[in-house]
Amino acid sequence: MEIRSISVKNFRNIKDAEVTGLKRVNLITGGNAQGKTNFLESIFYLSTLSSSRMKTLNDLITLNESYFSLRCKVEKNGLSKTLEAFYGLGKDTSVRVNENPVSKKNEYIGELQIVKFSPEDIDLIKRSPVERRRNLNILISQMSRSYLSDLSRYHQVLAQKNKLLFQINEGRADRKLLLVWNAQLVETGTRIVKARLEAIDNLKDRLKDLQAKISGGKEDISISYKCSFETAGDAAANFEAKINAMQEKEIIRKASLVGPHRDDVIFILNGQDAKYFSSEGQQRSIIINLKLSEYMLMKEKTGEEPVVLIDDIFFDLDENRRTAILSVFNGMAQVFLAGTEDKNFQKYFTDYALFKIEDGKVTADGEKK
Amino acid sequence: MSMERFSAGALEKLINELGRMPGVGPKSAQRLAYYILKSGKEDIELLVKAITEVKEKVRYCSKCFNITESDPCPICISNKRNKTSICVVEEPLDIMAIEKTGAFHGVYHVLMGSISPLDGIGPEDLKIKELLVRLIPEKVTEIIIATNPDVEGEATALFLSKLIKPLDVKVYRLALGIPMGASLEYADEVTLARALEGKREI
Repeated sequence: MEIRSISVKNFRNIKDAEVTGLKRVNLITGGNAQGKTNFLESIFYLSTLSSSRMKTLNDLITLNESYFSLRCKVEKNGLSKTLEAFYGLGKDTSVRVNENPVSKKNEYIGELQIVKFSPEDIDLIKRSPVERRRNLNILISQMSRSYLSDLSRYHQVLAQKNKLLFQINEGRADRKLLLVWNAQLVETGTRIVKARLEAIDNLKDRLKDLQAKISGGKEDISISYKCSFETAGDAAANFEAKINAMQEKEIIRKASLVGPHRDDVIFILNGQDAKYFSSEGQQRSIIINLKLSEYMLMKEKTGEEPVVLIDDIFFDLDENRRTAILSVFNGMAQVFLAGTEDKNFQKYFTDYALFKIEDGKVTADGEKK
Repeated sequence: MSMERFSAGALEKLINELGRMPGVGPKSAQRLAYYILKSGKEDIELLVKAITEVKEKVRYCSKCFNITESDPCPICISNKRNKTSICVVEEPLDIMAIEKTGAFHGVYHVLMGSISPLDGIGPEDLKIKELLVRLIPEKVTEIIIATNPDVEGEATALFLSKLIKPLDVKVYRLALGIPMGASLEYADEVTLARALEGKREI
């Protein structure tokens, strides 16, 4: 899969940019706060219709503007597709594929598959569980449309149930009503958990191998999915039993306490929880390997090379690591690299396109051969 | 000058009123308003009369809560209808959709919405009691729940089935599947999975 061109309007500090002449490898350079990350974020949005950094999508719109719009041309299996995403203040979203409006998010996600390496991702092990779930959701959604549809349905049910818990707590509703929402949580939630377990299972060995290789066999990493109910045996029945057991607590706390929205991904390094027992360098190395594993999994599942976004971190790595990462992509994937430095670049790539970003303006700086 | 302002105000008012209707955006509201403005006086009088009459004549059937001009509604009093089979829907418009198929020969019951805590709608706000009191006198043997497949419609269906099943009445849920004439290739995975779940022997 390869992006041919991108146009960006009113997105963060990028007022208006038309970027063509993209190649297999694209280097985005510029000083700090000039818009490199924003440019990568525009690709991330075109893929996921969400922001990796902002709390609300409104924050993605250029100051004093009322909307942003993004467009890219993607080539996939020799077919060319135009993807467009528009967002206006007040949650006015629309997306189009080849000029045709797509009404559901789950019919769009997956059109542009990406894997992102960025400073926020590097902190993934230390951050809150919600970020780890989000990372997993973004990965699986790009490979399975039914996953995203289950996820959105699950959250609709959750919102209804939480409101009901609140009403029961205040004595305004009958607790018997919980059943109709719990049944739906169990149905969609069990499917979500199954998909997550399968993904973790698929990532596990790849991650272990990569980590062993990079550490010369010194580091043994394993990831596991920490579920709020027992997944062995009849998962749906276990889920339901646990919800029922927690009912009183849920009413008191006015919150749903069991289900995939409470789950987590745990990293175990040499037998200990990496959240507490690993150095910053080790965490970085684990996450980079996790991302590489995600890349391999996505490629295997979809038969397509996902587009790779690497923000900043690349140039912080030592030479061995850089070469090791690039060898995974093996010149096959399209890579967007953002960094402040480009003097070492020719060492790693022979054929690439260079773009400079200054104050939100993108200029092509000729092709370096 | 003042006249000009007055007429612009009237047109704006009309556009505003039309724009409040479901499915009518600002552009369509403008188009409709200009159409009305250009129409002949007789046409407008007919339209106004139709709107007033709808409000005066049309009401809800006291039995099934379908919209009707006579109470009980023609479906409820028809002797061609199988009264022991009731199809439960959320809105009167859903009846029109099912009637168009001509495939259902029972009677209906409109709930007037679906359970939704977020909108403050509980079972007591729906016409559920009114459905239950129909079961024995009308010797109902089957209930087909045709609420929407969204989470609220599904919750309502579950609620009804828990309530009615113990009463020795068969409860069915409308099957979900692939639209006729659609190609499997283009069906979304969720619909396809649901259709597989609801497979039938041939």
